[in-house]
Amino acid sequence: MLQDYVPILVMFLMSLFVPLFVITLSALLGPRRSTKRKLAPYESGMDPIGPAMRRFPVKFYVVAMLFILFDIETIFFFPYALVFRELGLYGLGVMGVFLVLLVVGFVYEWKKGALRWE
Amino acid sequence: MQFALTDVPRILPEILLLVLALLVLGSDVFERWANTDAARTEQHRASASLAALGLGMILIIALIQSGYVYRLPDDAPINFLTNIVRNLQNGGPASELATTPILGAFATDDLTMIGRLVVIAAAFLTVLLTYDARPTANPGEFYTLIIGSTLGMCLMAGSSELIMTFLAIELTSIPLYVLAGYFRNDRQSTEAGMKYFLFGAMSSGILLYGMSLTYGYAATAAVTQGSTGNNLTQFERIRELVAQAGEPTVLLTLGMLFLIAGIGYKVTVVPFHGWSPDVYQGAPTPITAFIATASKVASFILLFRLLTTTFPVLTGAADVIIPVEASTFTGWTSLLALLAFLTLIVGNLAALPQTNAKRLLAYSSIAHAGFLLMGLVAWSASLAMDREAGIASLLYYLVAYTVMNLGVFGVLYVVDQHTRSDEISVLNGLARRNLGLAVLFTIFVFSLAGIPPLSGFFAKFYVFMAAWQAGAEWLVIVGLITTIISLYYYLRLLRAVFIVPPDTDAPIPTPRWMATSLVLSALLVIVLGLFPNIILTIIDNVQAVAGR
Repeated sequence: MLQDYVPILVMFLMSLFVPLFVITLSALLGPRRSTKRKLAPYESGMDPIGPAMRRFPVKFYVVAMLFILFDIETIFFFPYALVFRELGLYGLGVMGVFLVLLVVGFVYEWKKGALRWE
Repeated sequence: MQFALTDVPRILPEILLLVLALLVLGSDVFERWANTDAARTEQHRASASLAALGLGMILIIALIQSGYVYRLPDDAPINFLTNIVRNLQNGGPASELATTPILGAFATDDLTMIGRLVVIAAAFLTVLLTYDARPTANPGEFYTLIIGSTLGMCLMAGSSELIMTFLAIELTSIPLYVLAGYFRNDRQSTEAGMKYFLFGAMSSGILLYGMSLTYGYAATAAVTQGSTGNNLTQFERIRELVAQAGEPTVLLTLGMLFLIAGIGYKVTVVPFHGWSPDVYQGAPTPITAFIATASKVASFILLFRLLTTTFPVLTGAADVIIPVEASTFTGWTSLLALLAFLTLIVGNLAALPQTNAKRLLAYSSIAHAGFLLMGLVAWSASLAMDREAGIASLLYYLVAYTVMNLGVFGVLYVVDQHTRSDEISVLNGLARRNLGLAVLFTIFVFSLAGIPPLSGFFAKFYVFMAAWQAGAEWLVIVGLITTIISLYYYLRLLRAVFIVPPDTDAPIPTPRWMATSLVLSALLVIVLGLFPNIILTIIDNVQAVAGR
């Protein structure tokens, strides 16, 4: 019973070992020339400390919506790829309906000018 | 259990609603940007007419499918036309397919069919009301949201599984949040949208908690009984598990209480009614009409199906007034009787001092939720016949309530379009400014107040009768007293219309399609009142469902 969980234990240990190993390696071998940019938490230039109630362009919402669209598509398509053969025509039909609905959402965003960034 | 091709006609109205929503959305996308007022009006009307035509066609298809108006005889000749009808009715509630829900999640019985018809008709009348209105921003999105919400309500009416229930409620609510706040530049509308959203999110959380407790009970019962852990979210399955386990536990009772509270928000039952006056007042008037009618119809049907299918062991008795100790709690009918009592008192008394017509009608709609609950309370009757009278009265009340509320909000909308205000004072002298509109308003208000021979009277009458038979005499007496109280505020509206002199005598125009929608509602109010058997014979079918 318990030995069924051995692979999980191995994975746990591996996931502990790999990052530790990489961090140690880079600490030992890497050159250290720190600048102000490099020490910043995010390289995007966003200041992580400050008031949260700031104004920012509404375009970000649209990008977020696009992200959700494609994110959900990926989430459903990966498992579908695994059982593609088993589900056969039924699965193809169901995923087809799903894809049509997604594409309609995409076309809507596109036509509304979500991809235009001036 | 897999989805079969024979299941497609069973959800045809839902599929068509989805297609229509996509079409309306698409029509908006490929329109040219409207710069002038004329172009904006044209764009608005194009979307509105597409939505109205589509909803009308779906309504007709659903009517044919239901077989309530015309049932194809078995020995009908085989030709193109009869084949269409036959295929449609094979997916209807009368076919033997309808006895099992699709994938265990979506029932297509008579209860669903009635819910569908009422909801789609309400959406149709709402869209018709908005056709002649001042153009909205992005009309395509506006109508897509209405149709999407209608789709969610249809799914709510038929859902027989917990996850399906939650998804349907969300599909209904999320478009309604947006619609309530649709006038972005209007402070009240924005506030309504935000409030509706916050309360709705809260109630969804409560509902989900109830679902998880119920599921937890079902899963525990399944493990202890050694049965398979499949389909544990289906209403029927939970009922079987509860029946085999014998005594219901505290866990199940708690789950049921949370479920009732969660849906109680949607049907504006006191003490979960706090959001509704603000939302009803702030939302665009046709949307108020839609929220007040269609979403309540769907929620009540869902509540009925959920409680009677899943929790028959916890039915209880309606003669207990206040459960003093936890041990005296017998079941959901006694709880609903208590809620109905509170709803009737608070709804009717709070409506008295209102000066805003929409707010007054919001409280009146809360009060009506109390009457509707009395139909559910009648389920505690020991005789099957009395229980059937309860569900029949509930459904009749839902239909009557829908048409008269759509009408009364519609009249307010016409006046609001002209005067840009929804205080009671703008109704002053309406009889002198537009007699036809005043007559229609009188019909709707009389029906709301329950004056014979309009449908509102018979609705109340049947509900009272059913509740009395079920042993909730005290509740009927409360209902009668509050009905008399309600006359005061309904007559205040009519006093403004007929007696108080107006500031100006300028006539209020009634655009054609608004008038059509109002006249249709008024006809339904009168016809259903004069011939209540039209609806009652249809509802007889439902009793086969309810009699289980």
